[in-house]
Amino acid sequence: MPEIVDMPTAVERWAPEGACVYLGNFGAQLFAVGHELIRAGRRSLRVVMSSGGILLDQLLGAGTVEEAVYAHCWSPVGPLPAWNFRRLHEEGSGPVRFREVSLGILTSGLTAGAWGVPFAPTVDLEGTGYVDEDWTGGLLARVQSPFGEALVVRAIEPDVAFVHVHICDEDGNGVLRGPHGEVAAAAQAARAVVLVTEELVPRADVREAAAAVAVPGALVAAIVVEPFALHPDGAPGRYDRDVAFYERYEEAARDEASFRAWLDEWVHQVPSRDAYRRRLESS
Amino acid sequence: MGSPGPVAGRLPAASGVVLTAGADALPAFLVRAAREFAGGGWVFTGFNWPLLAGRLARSLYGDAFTQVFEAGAAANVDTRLLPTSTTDYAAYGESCCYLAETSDVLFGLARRLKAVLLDAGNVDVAGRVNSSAIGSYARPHRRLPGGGGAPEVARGARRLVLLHASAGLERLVSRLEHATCAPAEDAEVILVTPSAVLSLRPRPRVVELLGALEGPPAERLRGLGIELDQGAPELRPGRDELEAAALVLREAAGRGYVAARRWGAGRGL
Repeated sequence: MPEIVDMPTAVERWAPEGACVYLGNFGAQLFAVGHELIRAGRRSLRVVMSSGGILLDQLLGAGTVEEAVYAHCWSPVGPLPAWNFRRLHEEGSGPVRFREVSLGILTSGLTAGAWGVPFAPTVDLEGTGYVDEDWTGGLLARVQSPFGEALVVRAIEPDVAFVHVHICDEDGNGVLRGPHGEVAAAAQAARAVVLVTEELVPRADVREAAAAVAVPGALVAAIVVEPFALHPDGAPGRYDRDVAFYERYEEAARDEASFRAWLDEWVHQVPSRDAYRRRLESS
Repeated sequence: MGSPGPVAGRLPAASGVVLTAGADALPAFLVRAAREFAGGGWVFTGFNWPLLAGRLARSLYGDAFTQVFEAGAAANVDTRLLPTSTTDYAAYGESCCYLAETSDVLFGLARRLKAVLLDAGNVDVAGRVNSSAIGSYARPHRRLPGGGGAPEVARGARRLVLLHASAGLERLVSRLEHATCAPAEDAEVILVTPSAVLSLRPRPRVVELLGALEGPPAERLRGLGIELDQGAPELRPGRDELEAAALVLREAAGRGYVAARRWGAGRGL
């Protein structure tokens, strides 16, 4: 049975320095996890994120990331740039290694990891920079087989997958309310899964929603019960995406100094998601 | 594409508005994009303009179509709120008839969809889109956000509809230096702009006019070697269609859409 732990414990035990961390979910980003990674002082994480959005931007700006495998990075409200991401690319990325993938490449790579095979086929993207300019940094290859030629992706096998769920039971069976993105493949590919749930519920409640269980308990090492884990993203049926917060962040992140001030106010000075929520309510 | 006509009972018969440049350009652009949903079917919407087109299409055509999102969802009624992006799941509400995975949409559905609508801020006459970098990839002049799921869904599309909203067509070029998305060789590729609709296959040509094609956009097209067919059919949106589009733009401004805010600011809204 998975352990029920708090967020600092989850980060300490499953996301040490150098770890390859899948940070879910596509579009519903685990800001609660990312902020804890920043507070824990991580400097060498290899992150795998489908829609990096502003969480990846915050991790980059905080110096948490050594390598990023990502499909896009922006502020989805606007849409507007992710300014740390842009600065790193336009002014020199320093120590950060970027591997730009598409969602299909990412999904195929995680699927290969899930199946325990060295690679998996994907949609042939010849004629795009992923293939022609090797934007993925070596994750793609072309193979010949008796059945034909295919573009394939190297297996992606995170050390840990942090996955957000709507509800889960004590066995770690996690229910998604909304589209699944690539979380199932990520959970199956990872060596360990930490479920971050809005609510822990009785087994019977999960059985009622069994068709929406995206992460079975067999994969789950730990559960963190963290309501409001996605803010400023929304959780269907619970809270909406906070457009105003996104806009204030985007404005703050345009400038490095104001980004640092933002990070201090919303990450370093708030030791928990509860404290974050109280700050938000009083702001 | 001829006018599909309004859903019975929702709008009066279109009298047809002769478009002038400026005031109606973006609403008309949105009306034309929304017509891709007319007649039903499953239509993929990427972020930004395709989402707004989908919202307008609900207003014009009701529940006749199913709107597909890259995260693995399909909605056959209006979303609860206008999504701020395709990943704004809380905004979907109870609109979804299908909840699945990204791979289901990108790999399984893309080639079976009626049309794929993508935002195309930087596009070339071959229908390729650059959302990765302007300038050297290693050290770009401008780093763009990346492609997300657009590369696969563009490659799988049978009918790829690219929405390019720049009035002067400055970012329509003969060949992009980087391609994030490229359509399949046998795909039908349509480029919708505020001035005209172009078919890009087998060779780029104007197939529909959104008002008089003159000034900077006409010069741009001539510079790209694209014949300006002033005899092409003209989009004549109904006044109600344009007003519905304006309502969507106002809603979008409230939901953080920058392009919609700029449009509204130009009108003192």
